[in-house]
Amino acid sequence: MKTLLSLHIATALTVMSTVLFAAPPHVHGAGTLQLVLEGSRLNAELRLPAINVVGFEHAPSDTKQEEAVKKAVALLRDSRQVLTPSEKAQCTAAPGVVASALLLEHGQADHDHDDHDEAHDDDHADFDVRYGFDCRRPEALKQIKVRLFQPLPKLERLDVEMVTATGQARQRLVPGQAVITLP
Amino acid sequence: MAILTLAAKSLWNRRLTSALVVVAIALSVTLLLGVERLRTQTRASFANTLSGVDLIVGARGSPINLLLYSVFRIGDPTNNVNWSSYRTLATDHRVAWTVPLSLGDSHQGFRVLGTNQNYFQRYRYGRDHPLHFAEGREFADLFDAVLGAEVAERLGYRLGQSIILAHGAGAVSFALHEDKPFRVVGILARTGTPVDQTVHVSLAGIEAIHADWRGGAPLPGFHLSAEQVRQLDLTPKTITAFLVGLNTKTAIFRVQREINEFSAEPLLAILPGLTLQQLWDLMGLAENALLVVSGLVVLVSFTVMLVALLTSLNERRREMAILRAVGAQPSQIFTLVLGESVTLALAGATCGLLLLQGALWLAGPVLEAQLGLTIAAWPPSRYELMLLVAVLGCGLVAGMIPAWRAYRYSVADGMTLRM
Repeated sequence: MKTLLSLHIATALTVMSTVLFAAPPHVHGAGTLQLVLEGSRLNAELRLPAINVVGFEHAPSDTKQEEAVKKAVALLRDSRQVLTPSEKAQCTAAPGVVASALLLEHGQADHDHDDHDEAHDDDHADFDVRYGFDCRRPEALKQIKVRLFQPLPKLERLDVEMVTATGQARQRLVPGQAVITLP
Repeated sequence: MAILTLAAKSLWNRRLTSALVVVAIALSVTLLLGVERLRTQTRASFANTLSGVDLIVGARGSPINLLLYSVFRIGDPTNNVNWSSYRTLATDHRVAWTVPLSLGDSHQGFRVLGTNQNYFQRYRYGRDHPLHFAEGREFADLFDAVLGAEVAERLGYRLGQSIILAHGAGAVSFALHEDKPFRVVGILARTGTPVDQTVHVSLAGIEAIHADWRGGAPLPGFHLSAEQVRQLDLTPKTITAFLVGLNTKTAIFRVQREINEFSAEPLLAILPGLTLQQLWDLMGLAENALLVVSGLVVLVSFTVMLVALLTSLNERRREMAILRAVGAQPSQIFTLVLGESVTLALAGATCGLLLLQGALWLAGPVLEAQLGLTIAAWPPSRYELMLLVAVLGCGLVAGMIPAWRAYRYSVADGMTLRM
């Protein structure tokens, strides 16, 4: 049975070798946020579809779009403005590190994003932001307020996955219900 | 007080109807609390099964299925992971430890799990409880087996006993590995998790019993004895899944992403806590539907009570009139009828609770053996007590209706009743 299975896997492998790389899901209107709290360190990775941040998913083609991208980067870099941990935890934040295909030079973006599917022309783009917080009293960190829905009205939900010393949990944030409760 | 004694006596006078009403309420309460109990206990039982594992890695497929199959041994079998992929990931510098899992064989309907010694050191359940041996020790030899508590108890196995594993998952299997018996060297203490229903052997042991097999059956004309098979290289070619503990949790999502994009074969890494929650989110809808239905059944049972009380009121107009004649206040009549419904509701709720405890006491062992579910029978949770109070509240409100009618009667037609 086992050899048979591995045989199946071997054939499956050769057949599927072109689709081996699973791209992370990209759903317009839905962002993801992954949080890890370990010791005094809170790390967060935010991923938003570019369409919900700036309204397009290609490299900016005129000054107006360039302006929009600049504004978005400024917004997302402001850690405390995006994520507000409980006051009592006394967290300090470094500026968020923003990465996006939209920030690359024209042409480079397509190349970077399309390496597994050359024929795919109108590819999607995201804004990926990494945040780091250092908390003096991490045990008091019970909640984190997310203030993205107001500046980004097209964002409909944010799926949060979090890992702390006490466990793993997920939570879905929507406008009007944007406070993360840590496990 | 006298009124309440009168209420009880009056109910006793109509004991058949009263008993039926109590039965209806009791059954509905049993259903309501049972649904709630199963829901919360299933969740607790699942959540307690695995602790301290950062990631579970298996072949690409549904995350929920991987979790169910590898940890709870239910659901559809997943594809296998190549040993080389496992070794590559297990030696990653961010990985602190791994526990390989190989499923597929069984013993008398119990799952056989191929693993290594890490399992006994790393596996945690509940609130970080490690596994303990009730008797014996970990497996060391190729043909050593360690039994879960339930396996040992139900099959009456002792240390040193030799057991024969069967191919496949059925309780009755025709493909037995009878040429290579295993020896029981350890029995684990009870955990209340699927570990209790598992026979643990080494990965090499799993490989050894399949050494002279091809395609799910023994190779005709080719047989390796238990001694010959020891000479072979028994490194497994594939495993079902493996548990991963990381050095630092900070890397967890990055490692997960890297495994999901692993180039040698399509793998899936899941965070067990997140996947379990995903499962509950899916189940939530069905659970709520069940809870609503059982709530409606409670309402139906109180309608039954209303019907019984209202019908009896007509027959009892004379009784009421006599009570009034001997000096009872209309308010006392009101209390009398209300007292009757509250008594019925109280009796129903109590019987329902007892019935549930009895049912769980009877069904508990079956649930534990079949599904690995441990249902605590006592005490009722706070939410259940709240449900019970709500049921009594329903009884009180429903009782108001006949009580009010009786009150009106006693004022309006008092002695003027014509027979």
